[in-house]
Amino acid sequence: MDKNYVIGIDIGGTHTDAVLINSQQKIVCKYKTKTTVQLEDGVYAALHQILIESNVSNHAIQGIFIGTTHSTNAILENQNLYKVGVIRIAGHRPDSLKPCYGWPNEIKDSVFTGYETVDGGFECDGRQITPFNRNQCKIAAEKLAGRGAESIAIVGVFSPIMGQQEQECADAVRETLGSSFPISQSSMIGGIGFIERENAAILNCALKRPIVKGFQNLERVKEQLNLSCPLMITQNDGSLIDLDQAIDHPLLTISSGPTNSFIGASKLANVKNAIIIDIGGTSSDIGMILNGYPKRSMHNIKIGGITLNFRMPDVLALAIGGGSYVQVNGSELISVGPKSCGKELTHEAQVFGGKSLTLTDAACKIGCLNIPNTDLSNISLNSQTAHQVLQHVLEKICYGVERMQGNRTDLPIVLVGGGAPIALSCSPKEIQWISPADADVANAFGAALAEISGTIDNVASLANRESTLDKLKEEAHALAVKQGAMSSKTEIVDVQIIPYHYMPNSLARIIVKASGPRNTA
Amino acid sequence: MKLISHDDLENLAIGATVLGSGGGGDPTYDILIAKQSFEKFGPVRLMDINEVGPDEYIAPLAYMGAPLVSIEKLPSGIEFDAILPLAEKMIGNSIKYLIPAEIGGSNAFTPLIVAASLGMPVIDGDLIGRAFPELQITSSNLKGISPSPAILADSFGNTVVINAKNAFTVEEYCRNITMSTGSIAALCLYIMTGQQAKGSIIRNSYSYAIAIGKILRETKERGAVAIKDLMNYTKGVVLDSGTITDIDQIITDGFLKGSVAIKGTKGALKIVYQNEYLAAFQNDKPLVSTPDIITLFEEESGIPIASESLAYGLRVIAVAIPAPDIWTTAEGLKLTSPKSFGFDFEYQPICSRY
Repeated sequence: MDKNYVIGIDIGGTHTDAVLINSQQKIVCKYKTKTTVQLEDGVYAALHQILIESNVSNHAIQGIFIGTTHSTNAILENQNLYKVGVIRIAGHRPDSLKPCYGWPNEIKDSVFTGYETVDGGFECDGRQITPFNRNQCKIAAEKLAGRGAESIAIVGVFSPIMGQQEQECADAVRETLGSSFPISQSSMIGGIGFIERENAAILNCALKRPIVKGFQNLERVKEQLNLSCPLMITQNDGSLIDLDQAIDHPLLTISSGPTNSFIGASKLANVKNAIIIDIGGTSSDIGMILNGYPKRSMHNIKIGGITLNFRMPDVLALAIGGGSYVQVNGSELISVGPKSCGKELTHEAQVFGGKSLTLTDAACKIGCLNIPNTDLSNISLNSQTAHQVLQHVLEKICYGVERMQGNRTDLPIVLVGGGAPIALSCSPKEIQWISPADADVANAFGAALAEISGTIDNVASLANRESTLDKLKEEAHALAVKQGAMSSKTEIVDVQIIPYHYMPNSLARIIVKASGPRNTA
Repeated sequence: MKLISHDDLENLAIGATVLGSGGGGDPTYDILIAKQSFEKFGPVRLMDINEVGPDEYIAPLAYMGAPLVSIEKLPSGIEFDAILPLAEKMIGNSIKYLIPAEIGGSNAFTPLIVAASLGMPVIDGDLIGRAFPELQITSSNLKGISPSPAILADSFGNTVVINAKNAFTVEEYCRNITMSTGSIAALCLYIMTGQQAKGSIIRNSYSYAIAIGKILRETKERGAVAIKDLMNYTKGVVLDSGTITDIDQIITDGFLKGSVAIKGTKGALKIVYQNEYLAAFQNDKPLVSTPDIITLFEEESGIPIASESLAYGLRVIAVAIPAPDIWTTAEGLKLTSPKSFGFDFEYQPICSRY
């Protein structure tokens, strides 16, 4: 009897999908349910159903791995985010570049409530730029809260090397605004690069409202279902983090949705190199798989128009999905998206008897999509306009594909996600798009395949550089294997060396990460 | 005279990074600051040197220090406020134009940002034609223009004036002051007249950098294809492509010094830098070196990468672009040859080897 099952779950904006895979990484059982207002309800429903249908013992389940586009959607849709005040610890007052400059106005206006600069920050040689003053942090916190900040992002000059002032500032903010006031310290979420790190800290703060409570409740779901295996969240690079980390740093999960669906799609279609289009209910992601891994980019990574310096898959996100609202004036098409009815699709869409016109309605109207037990006569759209809607969507997707593939026009194009049939039926004749079996749960399948990683974050001397680095790489490798990664396929995926420029003996902060597929033997 | 547009700024950021040869600072923040000040004050006028009167004064501006610092310790915005009035007082004349001391990296933006707020024009040229780590390596020094008075300022607007007899001493003193201001300082030096500029500056540097950026941004197929187009335009060569396997760097003596190891298709590629990439070695043998311009691009996007933005695991394409002519003359090589940076081999122009 197989005792090595894993459940992968994808919490999308519209649907929550779950798959159970066996030790051969084959899908044994899948289930799709609506995403619920309380995240955990949908997860409970999916897990419950999977356990019943598969009849697999709770003890044979080795892990529940969850990926979610929740963070990305919250930013793209600009909904339910905390208002954020920023404290800069930078005694020289770098006002030449103010926080959030260059952000899209819409998200800046709804998230950013202002900033205060306090004394402190470090020079690269470890001296303070000006003497840090805790009291200024308290005054700053009060001012920002007075201007409507519901959370505070703290960013200090050279904090990835010297994080203590950010910590003291966070303590001062908590003393002033309460111990549960949401705070992000930039040094915990980003590396060198003041503005990108500031952006990351601000977004991390903003995301705490839509994310934290749902994540906290997931642990309880596990208890209710009498499951004792670890429950983990997939992050940007496709590896897993535990729930506590995800609660503190929801931004780390921001691109895990695309990573999972790209990996899931390539495994389902059995191709190692491909362009992947994942059409969900709220948004569509386009990316590239090279040698079985999502193409990554470091430079110019933007989420919702905001620059970050994370390692993330190169994703082109379009605010188009099955639930996208369609606006028409008579028979003239005005817009598709960016707002979507998301998880309310089966209440709001006209084909389900609701009042809103969505992309799903347009697709049903002209037979691109067939949903059993629904009534096409409710759809307030003539066929000609419905064709226009689909043509418009196809053009946007094709444009995205063109931008993603560059000169790699040789790559197959794989369509996955709940909305895949919409695009498949109207795909251009000259290129054959592929949509593999189980394409609707590619994302959850990808989450189930998530890699196990081990990260070593240490201060060490680089006087004997090669041997020191080799030793740390071995430690990271061993840690990943200990946590369940397959030794032979575990690789070093990241090495960050941040030298303490002023210290003797070449002291540096060294972060080494190893990652590999789960050992199923 | 022409106005510098938003699109020019975008192209300049890419082109200046290419010419920066890894150094000169990543202009990611500078372009944001420049856009901010163009929005506030309007676009800057770019002038040809022939439009400048022989007795009108031109001030070259730059930031000096370790590029890594510039992406952490952002400018306060008041650095140059005290420098220009002080410079005018020192020379007893008014300064009519600004020019970048170096076109490579973020320093291409330095005079544009200052000029926008002061409504001054900027000259289409520079003193280096790329980026170099030390202040004596300028066309002005080669042509005998004095670097003094050199004026430095920190981010609080504190200033220091250096009147030294030669460019090497100016470099040494400025470097020491820069270290004490946190390895970054604002700087004005080699102040010159229009007449002196006509005989010494490297012309059309902005136009060249903007043209390079345009090729990389507008080639529809990004990455390797765009880089090939760029090599045709600049007469450069692709050295190799591969994955970064180690970055050994430290801020020391006011520089970012180090080396980057790349696992290339033709073997181990190692590039040594002092702010700028100075020499590339293939399987431990010298391949190309200063004064030719060595640049790394992210393979997929075709975006050039400054030395402080290198990252483990990044897939890169390494190229070399011929040096500005002035640096390959016998006189020029005294300042820019590999030996002048402590290497034990002679300069071999890339065009003679590929």
